[in-house]
Amino acid sequence: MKRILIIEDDTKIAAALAIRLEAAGYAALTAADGLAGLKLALERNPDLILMDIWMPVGIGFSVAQRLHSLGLSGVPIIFITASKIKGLRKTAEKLGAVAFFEKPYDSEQLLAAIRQGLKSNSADQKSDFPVNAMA
Amino acid sequence: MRPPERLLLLEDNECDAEMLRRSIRAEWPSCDLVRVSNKSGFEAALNEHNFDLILSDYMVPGFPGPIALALALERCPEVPFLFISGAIGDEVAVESLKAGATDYVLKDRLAKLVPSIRRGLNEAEERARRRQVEEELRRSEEQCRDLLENATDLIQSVAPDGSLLYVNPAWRHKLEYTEGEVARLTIFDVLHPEYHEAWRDRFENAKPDQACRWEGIFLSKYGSHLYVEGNTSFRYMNGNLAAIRGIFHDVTERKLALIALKRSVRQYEALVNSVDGIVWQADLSNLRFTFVSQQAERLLGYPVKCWLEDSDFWQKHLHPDDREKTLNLCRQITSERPYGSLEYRMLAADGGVVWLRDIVSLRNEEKESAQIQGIMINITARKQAEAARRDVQAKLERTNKVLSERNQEIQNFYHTLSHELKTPLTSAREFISITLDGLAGPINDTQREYLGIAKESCDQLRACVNDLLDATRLETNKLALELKPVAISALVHRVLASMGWMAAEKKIVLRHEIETEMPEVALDEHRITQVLTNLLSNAIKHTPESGTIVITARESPERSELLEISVRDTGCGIPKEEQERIFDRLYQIKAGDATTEQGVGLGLYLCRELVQLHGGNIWVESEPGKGSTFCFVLPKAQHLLRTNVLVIDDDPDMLDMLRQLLIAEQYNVRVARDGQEGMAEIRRQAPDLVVLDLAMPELNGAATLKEIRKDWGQIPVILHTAFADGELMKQALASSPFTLLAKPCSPEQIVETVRNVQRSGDTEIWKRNHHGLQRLPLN
Repeated sequence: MKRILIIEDDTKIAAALAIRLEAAGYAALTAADGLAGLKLALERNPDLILMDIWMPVGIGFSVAQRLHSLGLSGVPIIFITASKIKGLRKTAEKLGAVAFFEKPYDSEQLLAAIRQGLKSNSADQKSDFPVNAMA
Repeated sequence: MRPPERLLLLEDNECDAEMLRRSIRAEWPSCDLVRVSNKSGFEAALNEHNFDLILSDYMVPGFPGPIALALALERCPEVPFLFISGAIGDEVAVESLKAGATDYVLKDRLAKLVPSIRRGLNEAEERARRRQVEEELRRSEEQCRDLLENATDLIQSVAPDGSLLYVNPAWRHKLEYTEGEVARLTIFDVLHPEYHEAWRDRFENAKPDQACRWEGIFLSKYGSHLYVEGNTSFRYMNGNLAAIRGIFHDVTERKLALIALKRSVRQYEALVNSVDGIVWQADLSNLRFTFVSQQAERLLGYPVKCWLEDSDFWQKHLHPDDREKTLNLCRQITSERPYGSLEYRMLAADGGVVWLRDIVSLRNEEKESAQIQGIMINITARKQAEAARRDVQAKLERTNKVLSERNQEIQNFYHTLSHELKTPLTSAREFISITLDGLAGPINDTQREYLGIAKESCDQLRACVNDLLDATRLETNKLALELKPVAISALVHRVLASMGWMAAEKKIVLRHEIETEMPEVALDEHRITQVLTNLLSNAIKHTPESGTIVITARESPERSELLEISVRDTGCGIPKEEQERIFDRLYQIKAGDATTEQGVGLGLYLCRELVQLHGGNIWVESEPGKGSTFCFVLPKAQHLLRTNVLVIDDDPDMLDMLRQLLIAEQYNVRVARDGQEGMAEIRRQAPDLVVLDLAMPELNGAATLKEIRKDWGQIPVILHTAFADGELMKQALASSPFTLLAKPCSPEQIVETVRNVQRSGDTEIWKRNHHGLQRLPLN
């Protein structure tokens, strides 16, 4: 069973995501801020990370950078954000994220992107950069 | 009487001759007596011409005495002639004396000979003397006459009654009278009336030995003025005034020159005093004023004499803050730099301050007497206007700053708001989704229906939040398009596919008429999708069940460079008076269907703004009760992929020339007439390249460049200037890099420079980094 780490400060969204992922057959791990997420990532070595960008402790981008420096650069990352600030998507792309979603997200599209991300991770190849069309 | 030296004797009788000689020798022993005895001898002797006296016998045979006398009178009339005769009647004697003989002596009374000779010689001497006196008198008179007649001065003698006793020819000539006319004139005929009284006075109060100077005007016969100056004096005879003498010099030319000079001085003064500025002169060495025009008094309130009498007047009345600087500038005026232009303040008499512009030049380059001159022009009004304008500008800048800060605050607020709204919205929508999907256990159909409504409401709420954010971005100019080539037909099909179910729910017939052969155009796919979705969803909303909606996409029939997309419905239509307002922000149709109205009314406003951002336009054609057609056009987009050039130049001709030139070279060109306008244009939409004139009034090229660098970073700039080594250029260099384009240059050079800058990649880098435009080539 693939492990997916959810780093999301809004516990309700984190819970919704966990329900979705478990229903889709994944093991979901949740962390409420960047640092906790980072710790969990090191302990549990997830197959994919689903991460908010604006969080109280450790914003998503810096978590992604530190994962790289901690040797976890192979883990696909999908960012989900409620922010519409320009340039976030580009930054995400630069940091090697496999997908970028704006909240509210379409759960089917998200699950598709997760499937895609896990596939590319196992096949060790990069694919398209899925983004949600609902923003 | 001097003794006779040589006498001529005509005597044919030897004896008589001897007798006479003795008589004469007895009296004058050294006297030479030349005797001739006939006519030929007499004539020969007369030719010698050096006899003191002639003695002649009256009865020389063949040569009678009267003939000898006549001969002698003819040849030498001044020599006394004495007849000697043996017998001579009284009658003959008288005849002889009448004919010119001096005397006669009878031979028998020779005692009378010597006294006779003596008398004759005396008379001759007397005659000679008289002749000499007469001769001298004549010569003197001639000289006098010559003086009078040929003098160039006017000489006159006037009788006490005013009649002219004498005038010389020069007088007549100058006053154009003939001699005959002069005789009938009086002095008052030629004297200018202005002087009549003075002359009458002069006649009445004449005093001897009183010569006086007079200058005045004579009138010629034809009335022309003759200016004269000279002296008059009085002539008295027997104690009575006989005449007034006058001798005058014609000074008409000099007088006229003087009058002309005075007139020209008056003109010059009038000119200098009428100049709207203080015309002045001063010594360079000590800045003492030697002349100021009347305007000085009007402008500053001090009498002109204050300027001239007080040697430090000007320096003392300079505004203390300007004094040092102004005096320094004055000292810099030398023969090498003989001109200067200063601006300074002076303290006016009324306590006010007057701004002057002083244009100064060196007048005389010789050191000792060097003078400076100039004109001070009152520029107080201009300076006040400038200060007022600076104040207004500063205020505007402050206001702008506040506004832009507020803009940022608003933007930040909306971002936060959006974030805060979307987070709970996301979880609400997601849990509804999860429940709907059965992840929370089975649900019945009613529950499914209700949850569907709740989910749809979440989506509406999300759309509202997004619209709000877009509107805020548009208003704060933060919305940038991401352009790339898009096949418009595919875009329309995608929108139709995603909206089809909504139409189907209301049993609306959704048709499309899409031209197949349409080129790809550069546009922001997401934004145009948003526009079309919005129009279509409005149409569906306002079309009753079983209505029809037709979407067309085609090349504009009027303008082939445009694509036209329209959404036609058979809805309720929009009243004429509303049609123009429906695109306004926050406009809601008051159609009584507010209950079914969705959204916050930003939809059409966003559509219009987004279409216009693409360089297109949107409008509505509608008839209430029949339906509406919303139509928008987009440029076929090439120009959106062109390089945007902003030309800033204060010379309208140059501006127009550059515009035409660059448009012809397929650039998008915008123009601005000065730095301020240029900055406003840049703020409106940042160009890919700026062509900037260096020398402009107000915000010049260097200052504009500095502004650009400050706010906009490295936009490629071409500096267009004729002064590649001037002060402005130095300032501009501080804001480098830029490309220099030296004036004058040919159109080819301009185009080439723009191309080079564009090719160098500067513009591409700039665009990627700052423009937010993704520019992909159209194939």
